[in-house]
Amino acid sequence: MSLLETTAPRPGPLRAVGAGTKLVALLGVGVLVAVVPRPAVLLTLSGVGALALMLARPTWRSLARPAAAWGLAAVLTAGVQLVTADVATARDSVLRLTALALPALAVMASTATEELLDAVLAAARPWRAVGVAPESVALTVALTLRFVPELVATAGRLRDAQRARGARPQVLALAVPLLVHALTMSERVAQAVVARSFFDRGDDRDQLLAPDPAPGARA
Amino acid sequence: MPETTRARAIAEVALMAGVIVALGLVPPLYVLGLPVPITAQTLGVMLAGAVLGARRGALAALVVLVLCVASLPVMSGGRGGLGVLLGPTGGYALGFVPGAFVTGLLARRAMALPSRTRGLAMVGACLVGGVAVVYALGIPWTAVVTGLPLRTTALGALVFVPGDVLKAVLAGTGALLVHRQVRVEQMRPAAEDDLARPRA
Repeated sequence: MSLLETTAPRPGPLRAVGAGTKLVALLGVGVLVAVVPRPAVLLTLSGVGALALMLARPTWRSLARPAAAWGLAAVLTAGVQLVTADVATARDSVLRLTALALPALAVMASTATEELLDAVLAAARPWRAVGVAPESVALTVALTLRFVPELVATAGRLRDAQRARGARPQVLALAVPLLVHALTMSERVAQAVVARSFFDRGDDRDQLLAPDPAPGARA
Repeated sequence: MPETTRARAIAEVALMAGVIVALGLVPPLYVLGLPVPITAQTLGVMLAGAVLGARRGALAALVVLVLCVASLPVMSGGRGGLGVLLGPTGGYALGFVPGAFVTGLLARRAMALPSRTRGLAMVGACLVGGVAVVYALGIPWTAVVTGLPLRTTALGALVFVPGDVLKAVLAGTGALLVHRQVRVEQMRPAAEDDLARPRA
């Protein structure tokens, strides 16, 4: 299993827009919905989102699950609002959710996972000045992607072992060994990183990874 | 920062993030004696703070959110995408980062306590960080996204509190079990004690 085995987006007008631009636009939509939740604004955002989704030319199977989750949220919210408030309030709540859902689905359908990752990691570059090393961020993300399948497989083996002993899979009996396994593995992974001389020896800024100061001590 | 320290920090954060994702992808698990299974991803977030400390625990949670933004199926049940964070329950996910941070801050203090009070303090750390902080972000977020009154979303969230309190108890217990088996340098109390054996 690889986390990166996702459906490739189809070519289309929205493909040409950069992933970073789309993410920023999506965040802007979120801010607008929170700050200016008027029906006219929400309707406009929903219309723009619907248009974007059509331009993204999605494979509907890949969107079925997230769309269903949004739909369920809309139905539940509308139901609560109809019972506790009125039709207009229920309508506005549904409009809020569609104004968020449609652009989000459009971005998902028109952007490859690798592009989104690159955009998020590029956002880390300006933070170098305050002690965030972008190469450390990229390496951390890459290592996570590399080891998730192995950790999921380990969790599966732990569950199978519990079932083989005639027990139902227990939370602590899975989480603790999994965590111990991961921490033990991290030592070997760290040695491998150092052995490959990954870091630029002249740059030791990486304040985000520094150990926590002792309680009561100055950072 | 020495290279080895930096490399170990990166590896710990990455693998802890992997554990959080893995705990979200496994089917619901049982707690001894209870007939209803529970999802384990928030347990993973609490463990991240309680085991790795404030900064690295929060970074592990942040890595999971980064992968979620990249549309990877890393959230509980295999969900992903910025839509998850912008959706009605997005606040709870965003709360992972400050929740792990606060859990780690309090867990570090718990580790310095005598063994007879350490367990309770660790559970308290997970309750404050993993439940209170996460809900403090999640409830208002749901209210803003859905337009529901804050009171209604708070009442709706009450349904999940017993399960999350149980997870905090499990996380506190589990963290101490992990610390007995693996030495995590930044969580060591100032005075040596018999808590953990040296790293394998």
